[in-house]
Parts: sequence; C-alpha cells; structure tokens
Amino acid sequence: MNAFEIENLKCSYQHKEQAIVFIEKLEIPRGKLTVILGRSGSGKSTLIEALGLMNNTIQSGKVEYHSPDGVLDLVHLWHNAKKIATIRKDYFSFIFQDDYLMPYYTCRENMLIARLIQGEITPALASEKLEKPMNSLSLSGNGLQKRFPFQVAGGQKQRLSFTRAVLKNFDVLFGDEPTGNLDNKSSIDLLDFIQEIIQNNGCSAIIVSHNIELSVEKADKIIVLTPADKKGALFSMKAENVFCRNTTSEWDEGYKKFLVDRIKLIL
Amino acid sequence: MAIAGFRYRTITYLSGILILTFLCIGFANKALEYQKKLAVNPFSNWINIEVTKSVQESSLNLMADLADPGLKSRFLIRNIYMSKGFGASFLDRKGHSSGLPLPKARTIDSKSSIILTLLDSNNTHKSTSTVNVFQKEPFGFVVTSKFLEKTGFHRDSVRYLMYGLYDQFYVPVPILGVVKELPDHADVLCTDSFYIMKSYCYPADLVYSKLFIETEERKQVEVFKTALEQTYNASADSTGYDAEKGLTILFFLNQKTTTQQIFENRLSLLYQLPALRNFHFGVYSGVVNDTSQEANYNYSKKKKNFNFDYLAVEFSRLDKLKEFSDYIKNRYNVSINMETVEQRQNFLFSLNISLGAILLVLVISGLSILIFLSNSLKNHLDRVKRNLGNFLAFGANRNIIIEIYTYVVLKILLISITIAFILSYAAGELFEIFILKKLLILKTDQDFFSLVNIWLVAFILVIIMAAVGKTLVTVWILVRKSPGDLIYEREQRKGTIN
Repeated sequence: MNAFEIENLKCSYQHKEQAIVFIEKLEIPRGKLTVILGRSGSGKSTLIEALGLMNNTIQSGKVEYHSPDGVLDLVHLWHNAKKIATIRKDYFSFIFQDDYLMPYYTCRENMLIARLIQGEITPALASEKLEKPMNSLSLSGNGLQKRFPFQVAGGQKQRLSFTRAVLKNFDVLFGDEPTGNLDNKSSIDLLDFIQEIIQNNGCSAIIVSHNIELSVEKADKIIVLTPADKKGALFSMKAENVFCRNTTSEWDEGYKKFLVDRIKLIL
Repeated sequence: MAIAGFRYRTITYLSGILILTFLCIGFANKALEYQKKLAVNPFSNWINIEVTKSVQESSLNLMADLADPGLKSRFLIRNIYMSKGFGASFLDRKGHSSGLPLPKARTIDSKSSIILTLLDSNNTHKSTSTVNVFQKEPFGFVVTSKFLEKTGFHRDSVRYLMYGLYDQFYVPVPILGVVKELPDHADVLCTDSFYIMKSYCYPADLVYSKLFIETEERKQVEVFKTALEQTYNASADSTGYDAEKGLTILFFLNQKTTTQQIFENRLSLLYQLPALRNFHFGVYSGVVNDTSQEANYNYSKKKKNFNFDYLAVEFSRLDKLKEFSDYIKNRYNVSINMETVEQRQNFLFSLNISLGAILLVLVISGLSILIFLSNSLKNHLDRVKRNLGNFLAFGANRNIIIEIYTYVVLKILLISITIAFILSYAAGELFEIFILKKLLILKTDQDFFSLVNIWLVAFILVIIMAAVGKTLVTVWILVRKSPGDLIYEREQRKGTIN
C-alpha cells in the first residue's frame, strides 16, 4: 500500500520555464519513513511542497495521494482552495528546519495550535495529548508550557514545533530538514519518535535531510535526487538511486556503510 | 493582540492621535456651529433699504409693485415689508428708566410671515407661542436676550416690561418672545399697530391697559382688582367677566404712580390666586375692545400720516440681488447699500474656508490613523508571515485568519476610540470650564466644546470602515499566497530552489 504514486512528475515554480525536478516513477510507501536526500538546490523542498500541497509546483505528470478516504489527484486540486485547506487540515502535518513558533503564544499554545486548527480540543485532551511527545522529546518540567518561545533554547523550540506537528491527527508527516538545527542525539530521538508514531498509527513520513548517516540508520526508503541527464529538468530521481529497506530484514552494518559511501558518491 | 505592540504601544499612540482629533472636532464643532448660527440668522437674506423722504413715494410704489408674484419670483423675493424704527424707553429691574441712547425698537407688520422666521428655534430663547404671537397679541414686544440682560431681567422669567409712554407713564407691556437677534440690530420688535397707538393716541384721549385673567375664582380676582385700582387710582371695569373665559379688567393709565415696584407687589397677589390658569397684559388705545379691530382701526386712521423708515426685502437666495438693485435704481431711483451684502458674502466665504480647513485636519488625522494602523499591521504581518504560512500548511482557513485580524484591528481601534473619547471629553470640558470660562472669562452662556456630534460619529464610522477595509485587503494579499511562499519568503527570494 502506497501513500503516494508519482509518474512523470515535473516540478517548477511558475515563473521558471525549465522544471527543477523530474521524477519518472516513484511510490512512497504508507507506514514508512521516506527520506529525500540531495545536494542544496536539488529540488527536495520543491518536491515535498508539491506532495504536501504547500505550493503549486507541479508542472506536469501524475501525483496520486492515497488518503484514508480514497485516492486524490493532487495535480488538479489547485483551483479549489477550500478542498486544499481541508486536505492539509485532515491528512497532512509539517515540521521545518526553523520552528516558526508564534512569538506571542506560550509554548503550550504553540504546541496546541495545529490541533486547534484541526478542531475543538478540550483542556483535558490537550494535557493528555501533550504528555507523551513532551516526555519523549525531553520537554517536561521547568514550567516550559507557560513560557514564551523567546524564553526557551533553540533545540527546545525545534522540539516544540515537532510536538506541534505530531499533536495533530495526520496521515502524512512532511519534514523539511527537521533535524537541521538539532544535535545528533536529539535528531536520533526525533526520528525514533517519528518511527514510533508511524508504527503505532500506520501513517507515513516524508523527510528532507542532508544527514546521510542518520537517514541510512532510520529511513525505510531513501530517495536521492541528482543532476538530470536529459534536458527538461535540472534534477531527477533515477531508479538506481532509490534504496528501500527490506520489509523482512534490516540493513546490516556493512550494507549501511556501503549505502552511505554510495550516496556520498552519487551526490 | 500582538498588533497592540509592546506594552500596548499601538493603542497608546492611536489614542494619542485620536485624543487630538477628538479635541479638534469638539472645539471645531462648536466654533462652526457658532459661525453657522451667525450665517443662518433669519436676517441673512434680508436687505434693508433706507427710505428717505425723497424716495418715500417711490418706495410705496415699489412695495405695491412687488406684490406681483411674477416680480417676486424673478428676483427670488420671499417677503417684503416696510418698517419704522424708533427709540423706546423702559424701566429696568430696579425701576430706573433706560438712559440714552434709547433701546432701538423696530416695527413689523403683524401679519408678516417673517415673524415666524424670527421666532423659529434657531433664534428663539423663549416664546409664548409657536405661532405668530403678534396676531394673537399685537400690543406686546419681542425682545432680544441681550437687551433683557441690560435691564436686569431674566429671559426665562420675564413676563412684561414697563414701557414708557410719552416719558411719563410706564405701563406693563407683555413680552411675547425673547430672541437672540432682531433685524437691524434692534433691541425690541413691536407691531405697526403698537407704534401707531403709542405715537398718535394721547393719554387724555384713549390709552388704557387691559389685564386679562383666566380664572374661575372671581372673588379672589376682586382682591387683585381692588389693589390694582388703588395703585392706578383708576376706575377698573370688570364687567367683562365670563365664567368660561375669565375676567378682563380694563383700567386707564392716567396716573404717574405706576412704578415697577408697586406693580410687582400687586402682581404677587395675582400669583397667589389658587385657580389662576393664565394671565396677560395688553396696552391699547381706542374705544373698541376687540384687539384686532382696534389695531386695524388705528392703522387705517393714521396710515396717511405714517411714514416708514425702511423697506425690508427678504430673499430666498441672494443670487438676483445685483439685478434687483439695478432694477429698483433705474425704475424707482431707490438704492441698496451693497456693503452689507458684501460683508455677508465675505463671511460665508470665510465660513467655507474654516469648514474646509477643519475637514482637511480631519482628513489628515484620519490618514495618520490609517497609515499608523496599517503600518503596525504590516510590521506585525511581516514578522509572523512565516508562522501564518505554517498555519495555512496545517490547514487553517484563510478567511478565518482574515476575520481574526479584522476583529483584532477593530478591537484595538474601539479600545483606542473609547480611551480617546473619555480623555478628550474630560480634557475638553475641563479646558472649557477652567481655562476659557474662568481664566479667560469668556461668555459663559456660550459652549465652546461639544464632543458628541455628527462630525465625531462620521469620523469614527469612516475610520472604522477604512481600517476594516484596509485590514481586509492587507491580510488578504498576504494569506492568498501559498504556505510554501510564505514560509520560504519566496517573494523576496524568487528563483531560489529549496
């Protein structure tokens, strides 16, 4: 079962004539952590913006999202702003490199805002929902909930924004370099927590990253964007640059080392 | 409420601008109101033509010719009448006669519709009736409040003035109305009939005063009647008593003892009558009891000897004045003094200039408020646009974001308006009471500050509508962008690939 099925996808910004990224065929599996790797400017964010309906970057091709309620054609949705907002609200959640916390809200309000946008939430439910991610991400204690973002450290802010994203009911979690500002330990904790959510809820995660080692360690599927051979797009995804973890067995340490070296080579 | 700024700085600044604006509105409103009052006084469209002996005959012809509706219509004339001016003598509150120069009296035709204009709410302090008071009582006075002040009477309580006939007899003459201004800066207005009576009827001849008392208690009235007879040493006649209408006492005014003091003592008895409904005085001449007949009788009798001093023409508009002036000059050899007209035109022009200046101040103030509010909103949105992009990515409805910001801006504006209103109201009133009236001792019956007025309401409404409109547009321009464009600030980084 796939979350997304993509064919001949060309992504670009409207003012650009040439496509930034071209993907001939790609399946993003449901219930897995997919990581997109690539050098800066290779169209990683462009791709997840297209999949997450954050921007109308789809120039041509087919993008189908297999939502829990049916298949949605993401290419022809952009004329319907209300529908797009509903899909974002009901199925998607986001986490970015920067925290984008509202400076005038307390940490608690910031964490709950995405859940509030999704629908009514009672104080009791809010406290219940907050407990697990805050414990998992070491955010408990010190009266953090009552503080404002400017009163907490950068790493904490990042974890707050992650909590905000996962408190929401979602089907796909998009992350644009969410570990970019985190130390290695926090990055591992964060990806572990994502894996836990995926396994418990059957949802999917698509994350853009520059951290090859961590990606190889935690991802179920790795997609590497490289410069395109053919004209028509600046970057593309070749079939040989997609690495999937076998569903029945884990990658051993030797294969992981091989993968890291290979990805470094093709990047 | 982040737009309210650090420590509510936005609200503070906004309230500051609004306080100054509201003070401006409060004082400007009263100033304009006063100027307008001067501009729209009942005589603003009146032209007084002095009728000298040389043009007496032609003036009468002109008056007769102007009865023609076609001619009236041609020159936009509403009314025309002739009047007499004279000096009148009165006793003041202490019983002293008025010195020189004598108060200026002016006559008017009791049937003139101009009387209604004079007694309309713009010019009236007090009137005994809303209709033409002179038709009900042709032997009374309409006086100005300024004149009453000089005589020591209060406009709300005065019922009569002691008027001097032939410098010997002071008779009570009813005050039919108290107005702010009278034509030609006169102090007193009376009917032509009154003038004829006072000028051509001699004491020994026919002058008497009438006191009409409306009451069902005849016996009690007798007490007053007796007192009055003693005062005037005159034969009072109360045979006109009618149970339905009341009692009419006629008494001759041939005694010199009628002073203010004595008359008031007698009047106090009248006030004590328990069943008193109403009473009023009249001064009449002739043998005919009926007032209107009396007036007509005397008027027709004396008309031939009666020379008017002024020909007063009331225009509906002054557009045809120049043409009218040329017309009567050529045809009747009667000249109009254009100085008054020019003064009025200059005054209207200066009024319009004042109005324009105040409007300009309000526009500038309104723009300042809008620009300040708009900049505060833009600064805020600029700070949080990536966060808003994040909200949109989470599925927030852009209409709800617009609604929230509109509500917040409206709230800030209403809070600022409320604060500004309270503070400016207090400041304006205190300034008026302590600085203008007590320190500068300006005229105390004139208000200088009035905050609640149509200007304020209009200004607030315009500001609110403009602020809401501006907010809707500003927020809409922002949230119509995609979440990606907002989060990555793509507008400033066009072409950047992430």
